[in-house]
Amino acid sequence: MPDNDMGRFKDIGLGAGAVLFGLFIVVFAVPNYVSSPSNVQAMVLAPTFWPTILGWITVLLGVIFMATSFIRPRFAVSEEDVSQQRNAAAGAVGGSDDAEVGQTGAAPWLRILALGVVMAGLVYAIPLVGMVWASMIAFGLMAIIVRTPEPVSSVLVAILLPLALYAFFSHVAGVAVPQGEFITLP
Amino acid sequence: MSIIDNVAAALPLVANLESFMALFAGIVIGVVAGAIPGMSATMAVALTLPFTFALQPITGILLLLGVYKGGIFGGSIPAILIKTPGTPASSATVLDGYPMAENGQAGKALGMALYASCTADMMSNLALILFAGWLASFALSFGPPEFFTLILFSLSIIAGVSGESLIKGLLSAVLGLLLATVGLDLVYGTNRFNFGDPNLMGGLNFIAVLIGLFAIPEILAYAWKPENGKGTVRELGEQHVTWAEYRRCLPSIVRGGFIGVILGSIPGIGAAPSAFLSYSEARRKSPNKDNFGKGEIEGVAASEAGNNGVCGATLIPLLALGVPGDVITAIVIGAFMIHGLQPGPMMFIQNTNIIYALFLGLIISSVLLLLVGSVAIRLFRYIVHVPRSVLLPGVLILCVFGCYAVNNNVFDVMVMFIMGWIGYFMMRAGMPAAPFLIAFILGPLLEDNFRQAMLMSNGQAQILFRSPITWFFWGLTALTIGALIRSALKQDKRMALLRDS
Repeated sequence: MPDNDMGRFKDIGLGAGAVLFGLFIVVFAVPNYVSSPSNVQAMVLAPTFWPTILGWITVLLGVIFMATSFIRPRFAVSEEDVSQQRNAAAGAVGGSDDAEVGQTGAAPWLRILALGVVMAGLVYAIPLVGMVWASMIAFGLMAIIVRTPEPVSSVLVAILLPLALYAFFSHVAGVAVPQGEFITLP
Repeated sequence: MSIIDNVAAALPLVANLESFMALFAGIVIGVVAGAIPGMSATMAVALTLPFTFALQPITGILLLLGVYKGGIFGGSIPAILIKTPGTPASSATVLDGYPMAENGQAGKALGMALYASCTADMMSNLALILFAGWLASFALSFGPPEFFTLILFSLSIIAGVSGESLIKGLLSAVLGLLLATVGLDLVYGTNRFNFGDPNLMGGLNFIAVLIGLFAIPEILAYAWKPENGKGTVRELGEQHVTWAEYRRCLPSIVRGGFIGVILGSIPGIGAAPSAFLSYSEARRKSPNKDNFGKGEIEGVAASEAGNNGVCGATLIPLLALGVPGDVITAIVIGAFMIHGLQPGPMMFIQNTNIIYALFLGLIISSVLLLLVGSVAIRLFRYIVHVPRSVLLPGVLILCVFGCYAVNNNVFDVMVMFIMGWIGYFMMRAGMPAAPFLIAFILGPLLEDNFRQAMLMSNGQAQILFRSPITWFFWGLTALTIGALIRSALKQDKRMALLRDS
């Protein structure tokens, strides 16, 4: 599929997503998850009024977005595309996020999926092993996921940074940093 | 109280080692973060925010303002040396800064960037001191209908200028407004989207949403493409800016400073458009206009004056009206709230000493920026070369500690990660995060003022048109929407021309 058709397809998908989300808010979420007392003086004062209006605005914006995506000329280019082409021609650093670079082994989606698992694991590990140890492990896992070219620095920072942050937040800011069930830090 | 009395009351708050250290540390953090490609001033301010909880309000806010100012200047370092703006505000600096570096004048470009930044910054601070109080005294006569129309106007600008697509910007803002409705209802105290979870009764934590939107997507984007952000660093070369060069650039610096002040004081415009406008005006007026884009020092001066000129001015709507001027001041508003302060006209009556202490601190920050910037220019090589494979896992850990520290609650860490994924998908879809965050902050204020106005009038909408002030803001909102639609149509035409060429 040509890039522009793909872009248009994405935009229509985004617009459709906005319409569905707005309808979900208006039809399901507001009636079920927003409580409104029976003695409300005027409709505009009801707790449901504001979320309902916002839901309808989301639907409206989604429809407008889909319509403009349909109307857009088939071979139109975006300003971003043009600037990216210019940057590429000028040899500028950086570029599109979509550009695939295979140097780091695993597919990009696999890396961010793995990072998502690390994030979820971190949330569950904090009460169990403590924030410092969970952070050290999370740092190390992220360094492995991105195949860091600086393994020594990564190990050092993975150990020292959580300890330094623990020292600041626990002893200076007075935050009760979770210690976990196994090792307790002073 | 006279100005002298106010300054005398504020002096003890700022004339102490703690405040100086906070400003100094803030500027250092900002310059370093701004100089690292991939970090941004916004992210730096967001990550520094949790460290202010343990500080006095004025010290914490000065720390954040130091990061803000340092970050905007720091962005010019990689813009000049490796053609990669450290922050969007430094994009215009690339145009002449990098050609100067290629001509062996990187040190001169950086020096001029620093002097122009400090000069414009000082102008911006003076504008803040002169106008914020005046605007606040005017805003004291505002009631809920006036504030509703003011916030609506602010939202219309912010949603419109934050991205390449107006509709995506608006969609992002509406999502932010929707998310702000989570929690107990403001008037009746009933549940709204709580799903029976007591953690959600107070609404989503601002810091968790903020860090999630601005830091986590960068980490995910790095995991998606781990090898970006490399560039060839130039040598400093010829270093010193002469007095004659500074004097030659001074008209462009002053003009850029004024442009920064004007655009910065309008909510939502931000530093990048100001830098480009200042640059184009300098090119239009300069006798060396043919040299612009090829390494003209006046171009660097104009761009940097334009972007640093907004720093103090963005605080004018923040302090006087309680409306953030850009996304960084939206974060700073959170810092005020965390310390029990509500920016707005009443703050000029209830916390005058803090306001004047901020003014004094900002003036000191311009001088400190000059000192820190001079050193940072010489240490750029170490700053720019921080490996991202170490930096971004470190940012992840900072996010976790910072987010947890707000309420001592792991639930906030989870919210932060969820917001991070939402922010990442928004980034992939080209939806800007700034309107989302600003709408999330302004949403409760907008709804609260709207419902208060409705309570005052028993649900009659006429109250929203009750005074010349409301008409003024309705008019401005209509003008802004008209201008946005016109600009979108123009862009379509431009795209058609690009397509044809």
